Amino acid sequence: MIRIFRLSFFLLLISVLSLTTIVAQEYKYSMKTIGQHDDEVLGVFVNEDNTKVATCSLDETIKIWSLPDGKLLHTLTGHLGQVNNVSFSGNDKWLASASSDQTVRIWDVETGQQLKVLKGHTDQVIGVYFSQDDSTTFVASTSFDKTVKLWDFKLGTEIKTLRDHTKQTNNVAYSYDGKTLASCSDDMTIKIWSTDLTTKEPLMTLLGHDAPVLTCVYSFDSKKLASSDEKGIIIVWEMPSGKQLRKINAHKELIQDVSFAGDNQTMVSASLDKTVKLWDSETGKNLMTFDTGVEVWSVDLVSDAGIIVLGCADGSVRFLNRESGKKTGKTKGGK
Amino acid sequence: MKARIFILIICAFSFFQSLNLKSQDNLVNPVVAVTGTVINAVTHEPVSVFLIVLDENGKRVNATRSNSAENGYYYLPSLKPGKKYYITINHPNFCKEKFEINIANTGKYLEISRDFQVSPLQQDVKIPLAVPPFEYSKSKLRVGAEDFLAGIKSTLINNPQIKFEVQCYPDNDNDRAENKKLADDRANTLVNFLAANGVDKSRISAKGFDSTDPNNPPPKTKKAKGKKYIGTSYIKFTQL
Repeated sequence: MIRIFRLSFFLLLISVLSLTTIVAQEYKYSMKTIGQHDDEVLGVFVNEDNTKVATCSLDETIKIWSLPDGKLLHTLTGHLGQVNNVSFSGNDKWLASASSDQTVRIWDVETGQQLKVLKGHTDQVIGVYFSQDDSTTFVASTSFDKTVKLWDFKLGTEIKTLRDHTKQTNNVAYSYDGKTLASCSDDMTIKIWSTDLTTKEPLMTLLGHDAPVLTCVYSFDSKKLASSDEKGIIIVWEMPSGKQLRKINAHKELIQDVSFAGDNQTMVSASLDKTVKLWDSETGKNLMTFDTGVEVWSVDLVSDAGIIVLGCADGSVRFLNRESGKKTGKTKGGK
Repeated sequence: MKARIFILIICAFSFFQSLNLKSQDNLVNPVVAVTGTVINAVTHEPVSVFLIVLDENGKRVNATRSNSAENGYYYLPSLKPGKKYYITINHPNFCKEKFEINIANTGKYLEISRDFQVSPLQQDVKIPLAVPPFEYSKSKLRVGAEDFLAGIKSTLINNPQIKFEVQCYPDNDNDRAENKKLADDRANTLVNFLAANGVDKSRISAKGFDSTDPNNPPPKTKKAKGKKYIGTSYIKFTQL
């Protein structure tokens, strides 16, 4: 009887393990280096229609590459310090960049021409995010000066400064419905702000991280927000309620970047522990782990997760191309 | 005769109509408020100071106070779109400052934002240059450094009584002799820049250090982005 029980348990264990392997193999990727910056790549952003990706670097340049072939289209120069982040506008016509030279710059994506220099932050600018609503010309930025600023880039005017973080702010995200901004900070909080021009107090403060929060990003339906911190933790929040949905012990080292796929459920994270991971944001299940062999600062993916773009500490820009596995589907791309 | 009277009436009507339109235009012509904070450039604490707004001709058009109890907040209403203004700050504990502000030519916004930093007027205070004007291991001013130095240059020009020392630190702690040379060269580069841009050279001394800044040392471990290390530079007030 005991033997039969042991045998059944053994068989059950084997089936569970095989199932796990099948699930793990559901997402199989191969890595390819498509180009190189002269120094560490700090930011990556895929545009709305999945045809271009922008990267920015410690080498003070921004590069725009084609998707899916990875051909270099433009190298944008003009910043006078490392470029910490980039963001395409919702209509893919413009690109915003944030730099340690204390400026936000706006570029024409087609010509590579610099259109505007936005000055007003009093310390390094770390985060930048274009409004994804085509009818507005708003750009949000965060800085080590602890503020979040909202700009009308066409007028070159700073229209709102938001203050409530007690330490440097690290990154900012614009919700895709255009209603709110999220900012994260070394003060271990995420603050949600209204984009209307009169409200200057945060709508809410999200508590849950116990380390500096390095990034935050909305899902395309604006119903989720993901944040990551210096201890390798990701938290998924339900929006607009701010309820904590899932806390994932995701990486062994800091996670500088996370991003949602077009299905609003699959999420990618990249870390200085040299791995890139895909997650189910609802269950917290790890769908794929890829050891890149290099520290990864930044990550984004096309809407069906067919290509994951990595910005690496050795200056390389790499693509993880999916060889097999289900598509995560839907129409929207970008971060 | 009738025709003349008719023409006169028409002319008078047009004249009054145009006056009326002008006054209406004045009534609907939008004004903008500028809001923001004033903070101490060294401690980054909010400060209470008096802000005076001058137009392009130097005529006083408005004034207000920033409030340190409210994060250094100030509010300046009634500025006209498309105009350039100067905001002057004059307080016994801070350097005299003059900031240029351009109001965008649009009626789209009722309020725009602008923050100001003021340098404390204290013996031996060290004003950090927030963005390093040098590249790693180099002592020549990097392209565009004039932009980063515009603020401190203006402060020093607006406060001609202050004597000061330019202090520079190296980027690493490898070779002390090399570091000293680099830091000295950087300090001299800044002295020459300031002297060439309207600051009396007799007010300035230069000092380079052979090791990294103890108040802002290079990071020992890899931190989040935005932390590439280049040796710091300061303006230290030696005589007020």
